[in-house]
Amino acid sequence: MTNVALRTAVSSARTIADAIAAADYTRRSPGSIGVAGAHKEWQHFVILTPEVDLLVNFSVCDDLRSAAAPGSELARIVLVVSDGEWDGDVETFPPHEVSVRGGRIDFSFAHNRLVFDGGRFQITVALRERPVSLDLELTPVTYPAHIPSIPMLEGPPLHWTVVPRLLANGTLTVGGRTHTLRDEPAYHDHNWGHFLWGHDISWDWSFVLPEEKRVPWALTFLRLSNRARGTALAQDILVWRDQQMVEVFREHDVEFHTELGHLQPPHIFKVPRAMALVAPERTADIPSGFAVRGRSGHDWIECSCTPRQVSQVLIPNDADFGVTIFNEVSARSTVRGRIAGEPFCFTGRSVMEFIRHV
Amino acid sequence: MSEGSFRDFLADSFTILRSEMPPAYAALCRCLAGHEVTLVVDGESVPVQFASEQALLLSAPVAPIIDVRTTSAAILDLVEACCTLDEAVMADRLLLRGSPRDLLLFHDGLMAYFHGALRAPSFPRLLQSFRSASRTTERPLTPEETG
Repeated sequence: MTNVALRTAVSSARTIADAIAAADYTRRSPGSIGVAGAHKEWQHFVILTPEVDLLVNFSVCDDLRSAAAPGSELARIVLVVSDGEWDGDVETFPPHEVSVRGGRIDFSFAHNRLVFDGGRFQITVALRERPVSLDLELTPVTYPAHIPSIPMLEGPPLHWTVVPRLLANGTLTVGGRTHTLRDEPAYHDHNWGHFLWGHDISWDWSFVLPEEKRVPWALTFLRLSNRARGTALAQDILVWRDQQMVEVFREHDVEFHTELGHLQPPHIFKVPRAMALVAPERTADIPSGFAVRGRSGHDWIECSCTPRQVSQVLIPNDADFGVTIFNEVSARSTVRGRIAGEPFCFTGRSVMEFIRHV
Repeated sequence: MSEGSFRDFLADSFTILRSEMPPAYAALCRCLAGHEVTLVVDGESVPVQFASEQALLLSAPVAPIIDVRTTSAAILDLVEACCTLDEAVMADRLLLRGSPRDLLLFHDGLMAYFHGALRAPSFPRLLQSFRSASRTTERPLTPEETG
């Protein structure tokens, strides 16, 4: 690498880091200053290697249970991993083990840590009840996108910041099996807003990370709808080429297509395990195929996803005695299109998230 | 479990539910109001009389209409999602006796109990003590218990 190229790469990395620090910082609940609400916020990561699907999520949500002290929060880590075998858990941490700095990305939940520092996300987790631990460093290779004010039917809007492509390095140990990660593809996003689980809300969301590292394209898409999925509140496809977001297809530019058949997994891994008492279903409302298409002027894109396996993160509703089901669906995707006159076609890995309810 | 501990666990769980998740406790009592249920865990029998606003543990059964027999190991397997309720029933690890109508009421009450337990802040600590007190190996239900 020439000195000029090296300076450019360092400058770009710093600029991406600055952009993430400016857009992706943790907002925090206004409950800490006495504002009653239903604030929810999470920092979400997915790492996909040829052998491993890994989801890690740090969240803080206002504790709305009647027995909770005013202003208290529920701090949780969700971790789901598949390396041929499923494992993971949802761990909740008491207030004295929790530190979250607003204005930064800096979470400490007991011995677990998520911090954005030096242009990298550093994540260290060791589950208490399961034999899963990880020590990872994720380097963003694209600029973030900030999508504020996604409308909700029952309350203030939801906000979303996304970094669709990162490189993960480090180690992951599951049941004594250690995986060493070297520049593996990863995805990150961050949501926050004021709403209740159990509200009239559902979403279908995904991303595609190219299987070939030299492919410069990456995308993420989202459809937010009412629970019955009869009314779309927002739908977007965001496309990056190299570091930059180069196209956004919005609302009427976007069409979602779902197969009528359902994915029929032989097994559905559920966390936290005890929630399976109230959501024991062995089937899931997941289509066997899923496609999204966007067209705007001369630009267009088509993404077809074929689900392969599913796990479920089960969250007790705030609003009632129901359960909000986060179906985390591992998929293989094919993307083709043309943007700014440049055609492209590639295959990639996806994790789709389908919110459903029982 | 050690002698008497399931009764203690159940009593503590009702206290927690009533104070921390009153809607779940109310739903449980409403479902089973006027009914007596006998729960037998690891051979320890705990009769419970339900009224519209409370669940009362009896010292001896009076007129139970629902009989539930299981083991602490089976309960922990359910909590750990090693099996589902219907799998536990089919494997004779959870025995239910009663009329279909009463068993449906029991199921509704049990779901209300679970929903409350899964939300009550103090329940994880109670479950941990139940887990610690439980036998590490399961004593199968006896032929007399399975009828």
